[in-house]
Amino acid sequence: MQCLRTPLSDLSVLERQRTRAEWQQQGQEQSDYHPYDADFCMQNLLPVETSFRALHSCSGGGANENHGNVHGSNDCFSNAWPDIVSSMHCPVVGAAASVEETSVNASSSSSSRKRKSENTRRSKENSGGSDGKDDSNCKRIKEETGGGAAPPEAKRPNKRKEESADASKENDKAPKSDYIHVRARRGQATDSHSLAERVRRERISQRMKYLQDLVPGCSKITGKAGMLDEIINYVQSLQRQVEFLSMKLAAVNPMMDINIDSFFGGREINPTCKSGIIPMIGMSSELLDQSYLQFGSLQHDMFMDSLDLLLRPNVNPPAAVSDTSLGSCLNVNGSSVWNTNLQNVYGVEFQLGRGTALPFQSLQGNLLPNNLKMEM
Amino acid sequence: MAISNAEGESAAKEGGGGRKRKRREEPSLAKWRTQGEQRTYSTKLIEALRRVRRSPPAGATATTHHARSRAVREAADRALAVAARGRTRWSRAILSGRTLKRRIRPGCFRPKPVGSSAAARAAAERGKPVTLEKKARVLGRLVPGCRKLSLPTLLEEVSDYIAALEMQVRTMTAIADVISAASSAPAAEPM
Repeated sequence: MQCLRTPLSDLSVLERQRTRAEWQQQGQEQSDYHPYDADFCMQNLLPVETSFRALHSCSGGGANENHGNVHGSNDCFSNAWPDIVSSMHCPVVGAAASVEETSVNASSSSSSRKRKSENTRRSKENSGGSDGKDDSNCKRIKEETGGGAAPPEAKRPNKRKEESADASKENDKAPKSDYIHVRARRGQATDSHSLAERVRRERISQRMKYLQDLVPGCSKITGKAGMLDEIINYVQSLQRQVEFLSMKLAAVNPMMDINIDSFFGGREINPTCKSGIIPMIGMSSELLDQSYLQFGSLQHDMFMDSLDLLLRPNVNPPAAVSDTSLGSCLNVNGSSVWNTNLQNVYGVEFQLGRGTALPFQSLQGNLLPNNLKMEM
Repeated sequence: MAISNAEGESAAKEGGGGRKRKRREEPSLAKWRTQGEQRTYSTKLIEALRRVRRSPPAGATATTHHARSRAVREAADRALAVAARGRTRWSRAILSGRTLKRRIRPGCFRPKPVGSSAAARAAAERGKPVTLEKKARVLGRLVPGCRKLSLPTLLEEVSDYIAALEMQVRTMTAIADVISAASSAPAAEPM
């Protein structure tokens, strides 16, 4: 059916004008078109109807403003691109399209004398209808399917700005805004540099947002400069803390003859051998849990053994004197001391790690072994 | 843009954990908060501490203390870098370039970032002579091995570094506490 339009398509501008003149003279458009409207009142036609009516209204005067109203379904005012238009319409509009086209052609030709206005209409239709098919700089003439192809009245490509006829300028503006919405990238997309820049900027902002969550107290600050300052301060404070802690550890280390590894690994060592072999911590904490939980005699001995190992690095821990003292002190005082210390420490220090602050603090209420497990 | 959209979607999907970008993967930051990681790190740290304790002979002078604390700190950083499994730039830089850092850092390195950031803030209040670029450079100097990085890469490194530092602080605090508690308790008992 699209071939119906072929004769029209072949029409040049002059021919179109001639037809228009004819139509105007005959003044039959209105009568002719209405039945079409009625018959082919499909969904796509509704806009077409309006367009028709607009056309009709202006048919006499060739008012271009009405063309502005026409949008979407202004099927081919088809002179230059009827083939394409019709091909676009074919799948969607169906037979009606062709009829519309005819009528539209006639009406359009009658109504719009200026090609520019037609181009405008087409551009508007493009903007309104273009579902993003011609997402690019719409130099292509692919009309959208839904509304109705833009009337490719002129052979001009769908240039938004070029149509700007004076009369159709107002019409242009409204659809042009639609245009811009639809194809937001149009102004920028062509520049590869700006594209890359945009990607880079988005990446930066994403990571800044992530850092905002990471660094405490950054939620109020907007703007990259302030954020960077906060981040710098936070990193510096963390490094200072590490420095301070390392000093503390260095100071504490020689004062006590503690074999820390054996302490942590004590639970595992004892069943196997009472030497100063230090296993990995991973298992030991669980064993420690059991021991702490039970505090049975057996575990007590084992615990004291481990304490012994603590006190005497790499020495078998047979001594009973220190065992009892250690055991008692640790059992009695140690837990409380550790609990208090740990709670104090965790309360303060673990504010840093907000993500785990909650689990840490929640576990403080639990038994000591859990705390120990955590710190390990 | 397809790329940015994909990033946005993937970031939204993966949330606070890892992110997948179209071009490369960002390491998950949740790993620094797991107990397993902390346990591993504390193991390594304790090993290093023992080595540090043994190798330098005990001394009472301030310089020795200073040297010891520095040694402890470097051991801790190295252990942290190992825990990072070398996927991040700063960890690789720590593991590979430790001697260089030692020469530069004491004294001259530290005051600079502090001063410059303060100056930057003051300058920003006045007008805007300090650009983002300068701050990025300052941040790059803070993080080991990240001096000449572009801003997005730098931000990624910084986020991982911050998470790692937090874990380091947590672990070292706990260890120090245990040690001090253990040392104080038996000391108090015999009395």
